Amino acid sequence: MIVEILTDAERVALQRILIPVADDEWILGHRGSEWLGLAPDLEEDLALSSITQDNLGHAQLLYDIVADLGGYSADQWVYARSPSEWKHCQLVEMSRQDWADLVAGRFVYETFDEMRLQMLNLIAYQPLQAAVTKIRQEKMYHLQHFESWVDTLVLGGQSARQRILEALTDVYAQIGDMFVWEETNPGLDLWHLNETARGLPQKWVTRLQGKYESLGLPWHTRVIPQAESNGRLGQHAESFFPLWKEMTSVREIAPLSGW
Amino acid sequence: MSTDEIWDRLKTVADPEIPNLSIVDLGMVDRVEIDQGHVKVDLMPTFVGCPALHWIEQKVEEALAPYPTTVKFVYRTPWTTERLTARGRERLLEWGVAPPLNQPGPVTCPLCGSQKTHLNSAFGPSLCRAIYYCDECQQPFEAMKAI
Repeated sequence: MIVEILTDAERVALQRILIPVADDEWILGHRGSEWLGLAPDLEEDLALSSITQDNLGHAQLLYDIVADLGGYSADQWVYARSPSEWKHCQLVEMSRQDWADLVAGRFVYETFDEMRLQMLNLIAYQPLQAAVTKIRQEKMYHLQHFESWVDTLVLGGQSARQRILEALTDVYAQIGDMFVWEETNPGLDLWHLNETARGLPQKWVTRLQGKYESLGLPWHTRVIPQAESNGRLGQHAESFFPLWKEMTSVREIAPLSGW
Repeated sequence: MSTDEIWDRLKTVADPEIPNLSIVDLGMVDRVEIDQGHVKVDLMPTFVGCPALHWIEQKVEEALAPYPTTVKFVYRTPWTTERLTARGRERLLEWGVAPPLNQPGPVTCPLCGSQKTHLNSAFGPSLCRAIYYCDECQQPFEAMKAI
């Protein structure tokens, strides 16, 4: 049964499930904006700007749902938390590097996120289901876009091919915490999501293997690495701190300003 | 004040980038309610991150003044391109933007009417538009993205 009202326990549990998802999208939006004017061509500049706006929109929608469940307002979630209270994974906080790194990272993330959204859709809470439906409509274009970039680079000549293959290998080392859900989160139990959550890494690996094979790339059996530091627990790379400082700075200077 | 009057006034609020296309023809208006002299308008965002939402909210309030109005953005039912009215599709075409395809098939060039077109980029100058190219008249053009 799809409900519009949750119990207290369900509310808190759902907030804990959704915050990392919103944080992933928010941070991606900020990192995406760092490419403005620097993407490989004009079309891509437009595309990445659109994707970035979408990411921030998705984050805002999820923060709004979390805020409606009680506690912090959406603005407080974004502007009043310390860096160690952010729950995004390390992959999304990667600062601007080579274009191939962005393509590899986004392809990996969007593939995962589609599976995660399918899982969130199993939570029978009407406002969340409506939001997930809307977000997936837009996300479909993101995944297609980055998949076609992977194709372009793999098939695009020696240097492009080498760079994307290296980027895809490197990115693998950074996804340890992407699949991590707070183990103590009662929400996964409440909505019977434990099994689905546990199955995501394997499902994702199979999807990636399919992509490699469709491009005629050699596939080596891979194991998702253990997270050395875990973004889902608030452990972040050094590079996150300047970003956090920048995105909270206006709020810091003028706490009462309108947005 | 009647609900009809409110709908008529909402027809004067246009998409900020396509001035001949009203938010009614765009299919953005989910619900209009009058409650003791207070108007409540529920709008469905076309794209979640659309930067024009606040602007549209303001224009709706202006169009309904002096009635006190509350605009809310809702996601109960997600907006899809199928909500665009027949008139809305015509208006898009008049403005030079190909209407969205509700089923797979070639996009018709709004400039010469040819169906020999191909997608150039799914991401155009705004969140809701994609860039196509017409192989017949050899012009780039925009189409509303189907979602």
